[in-house]
Amino acid sequence: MSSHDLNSAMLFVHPPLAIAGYACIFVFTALLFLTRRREAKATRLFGLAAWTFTLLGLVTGMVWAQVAWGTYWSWDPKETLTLMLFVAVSASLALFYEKQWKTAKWASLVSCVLSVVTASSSFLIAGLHSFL
Amino acid sequence: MRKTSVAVLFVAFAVVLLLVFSPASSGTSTNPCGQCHLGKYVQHLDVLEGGSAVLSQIGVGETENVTVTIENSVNAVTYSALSGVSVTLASKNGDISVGSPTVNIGSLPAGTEKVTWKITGVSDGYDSLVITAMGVNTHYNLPFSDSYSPSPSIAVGQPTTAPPPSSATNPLSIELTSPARGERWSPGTSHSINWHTNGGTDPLTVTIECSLSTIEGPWTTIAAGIADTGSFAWETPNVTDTLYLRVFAVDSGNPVQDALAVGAVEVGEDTGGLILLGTVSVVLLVVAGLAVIFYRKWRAQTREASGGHAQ
Repeated sequence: MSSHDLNSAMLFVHPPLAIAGYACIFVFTALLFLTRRREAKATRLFGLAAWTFTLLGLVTGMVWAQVAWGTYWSWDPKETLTLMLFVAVSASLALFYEKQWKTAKWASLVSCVLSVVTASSSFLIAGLHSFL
Repeated sequence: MRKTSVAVLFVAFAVVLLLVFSPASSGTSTNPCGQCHLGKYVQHLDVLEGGSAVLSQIGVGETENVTVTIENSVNAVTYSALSGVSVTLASKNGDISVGSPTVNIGSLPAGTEKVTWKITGVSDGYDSLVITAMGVNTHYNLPFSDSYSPSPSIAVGQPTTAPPPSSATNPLSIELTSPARGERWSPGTSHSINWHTNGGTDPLTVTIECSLSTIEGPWTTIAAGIADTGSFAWETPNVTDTLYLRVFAVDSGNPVQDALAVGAVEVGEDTGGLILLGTVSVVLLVVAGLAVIFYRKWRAQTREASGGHAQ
């Protein structure tokens, strides 16, 4: 992708939402691991924020892909990793709501690892997002 | 199971299902676009050699039609039309005059289009016609061009000299290597326009022209008749716009051959990265701030609760 392809208002919508999703995943995981009252409002809020931001990042990415590349989904490595991340975040949030603390903790840890892999995939794996 | 966890899992399941069973799930894009789709998108603007009816003889004062077929060949459905398409017919030696040399087609969807000119024999001799087509895919400002010179030459009137040899054995071609696709140059800075020629008869001369905003011109000459060194240092104008560049190469053969390459560059300050960095920083600060606020609230609540137990 050339720098010209990034000349879009979506540049200020999609990446911030995705990054906010990553950040919230880390805060959610930290709260799950570090706090005793796991049902605290903050943990729930950050879990929900992580899920919402990741979903919005995915959806806005699809909209931008349709505009820029003519297709909303092409199984690009970063797209696929983000989908895996979304599934992992969904699982950890569902487990959290089901009060399966231990499993939720490990699922959120997997989400953290996937966040790092997804974020760094632009630099490591050749694909549509290899423009950085 | 709680309603919230059911809703969360339902949305995740729906998203996965939607993507797995979507029409684009085969792994290839329905409209891959240029380099951003790893070379899967292929588009060419061609002057069809087989589809061009060019005569071999014309009398002095005689007028004939010359019909040329151009093709927008593309392997995508959307964003496939070329804009600002123009086709120019020129005489090499001036023994033939062309009425209205440039035909503006405008938008050219995928497929072919026929263009017809009226040419008139002016003086005795052998002459060649050069057909040049240009257009741009505005979706990515990708310029396309092609040129074709039918061989052998056209005999005009009663030529007194022998016909020139066919140059088809060593055709001249040119490629513009800098600016590369999608490149951005800052206004008022010095950059190198690079090209690469192949074939033709040495020495070659090169002419570089630019057009602001549109590929349809007007074209301003940057350098005329310079040696084929493959590079020319140029200072970008103080504008913020798309700048189209075209490079003509002409050889010293008989008949003369020429070739054309068109490129585009975005002229403007690249502030996108800084704005993105700023936006990302603000988002991270907001998330971190919220985390701190909630942590302090939680700590206060915990202290309050433990204080209550102590009493």
